[in-house]
Amino acid sequence: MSAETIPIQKDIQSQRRAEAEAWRRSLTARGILCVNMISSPGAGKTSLLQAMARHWSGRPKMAVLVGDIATDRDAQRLAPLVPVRQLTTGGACHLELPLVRNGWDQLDQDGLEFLFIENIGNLVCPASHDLGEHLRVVVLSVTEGDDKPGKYPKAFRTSQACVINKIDLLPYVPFSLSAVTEDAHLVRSDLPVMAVSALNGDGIAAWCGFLVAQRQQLLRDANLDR
Amino acid sequence: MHERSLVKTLIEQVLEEGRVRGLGRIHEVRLQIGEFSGVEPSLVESAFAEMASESWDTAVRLTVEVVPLTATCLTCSEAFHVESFRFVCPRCGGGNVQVTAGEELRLVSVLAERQTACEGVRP
Repeated sequence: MSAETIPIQKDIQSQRRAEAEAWRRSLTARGILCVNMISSPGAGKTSLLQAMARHWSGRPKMAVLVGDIATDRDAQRLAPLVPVRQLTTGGACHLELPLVRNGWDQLDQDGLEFLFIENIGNLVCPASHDLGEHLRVVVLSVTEGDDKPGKYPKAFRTSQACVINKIDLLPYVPFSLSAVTEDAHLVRSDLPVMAVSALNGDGIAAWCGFLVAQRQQLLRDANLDR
Repeated sequence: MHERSLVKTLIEQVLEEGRVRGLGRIHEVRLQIGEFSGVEPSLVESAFAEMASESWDTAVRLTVEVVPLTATCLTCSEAFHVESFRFVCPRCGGGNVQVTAGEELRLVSVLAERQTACEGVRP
């Protein structure tokens, strides 16, 4: 029998995309803004979440799903402050939706306004996986260098906000806030870039205010504002 | 490195299409990989070579076409290839650009024999 070309024309990620979209819609309907935080290891995602939890101090109400390859160290750091579940991938370099949903099902969801997903420390693979978030945030610390946006374009192109962390170290490292902003804007011209120090609290209030405004916009767009 | 999980999804979809369309032996799978899909074609090819032998008794070839990253400027309507992942219009210098291609992972077609039984596919 002779072989023939059978046209298919199918996006192989269409099912994953549809699942992420359905979950995003269900979170929207509950008035929860979901934020997927990506960065390289050690950029300070957990420290940033601790600083935000201290700043908000229970209002608005946030919860965290924190991903790592191994250990529950990050969950232990966050547990005194907010509802948290550790997601361990056992080696995988990024989070995928089924693992996130599993953690979500075990989380105290009562009255939640913000859900933060702390992805595996990695600026590459997490950029290719939609976790149903409303907002993807790329966190970069000043010790990593101001040339990173152009080197990891997908992480910056697919994010809706960029947080530059550890600005308390600016006097000691060769890092230019204007250079990193310029480089990030070559990848995504409208990317908001916010500078913070999770350690001493600089910029945390402005960053939290940005997130509150994002949630209010989500509620307005979904006609949920009351 | 998430190419293996994508290849697993790809093979599952080819098997599913084979069942639904009543295809027999599959000779070739044709895939488009966007330049900005976050997926490395050579890693997909090596993962496919390894994983295809676990799914089919007969050899199945993978042909990859890389789709260039292109965009349209929303300010001046220029259509262009995005060079070095700089999303900036080469004509007006504006950054308000929309990607038109280069992010896809598309199963384009398969080269297969048409028959009702799914010969060559392990249950």
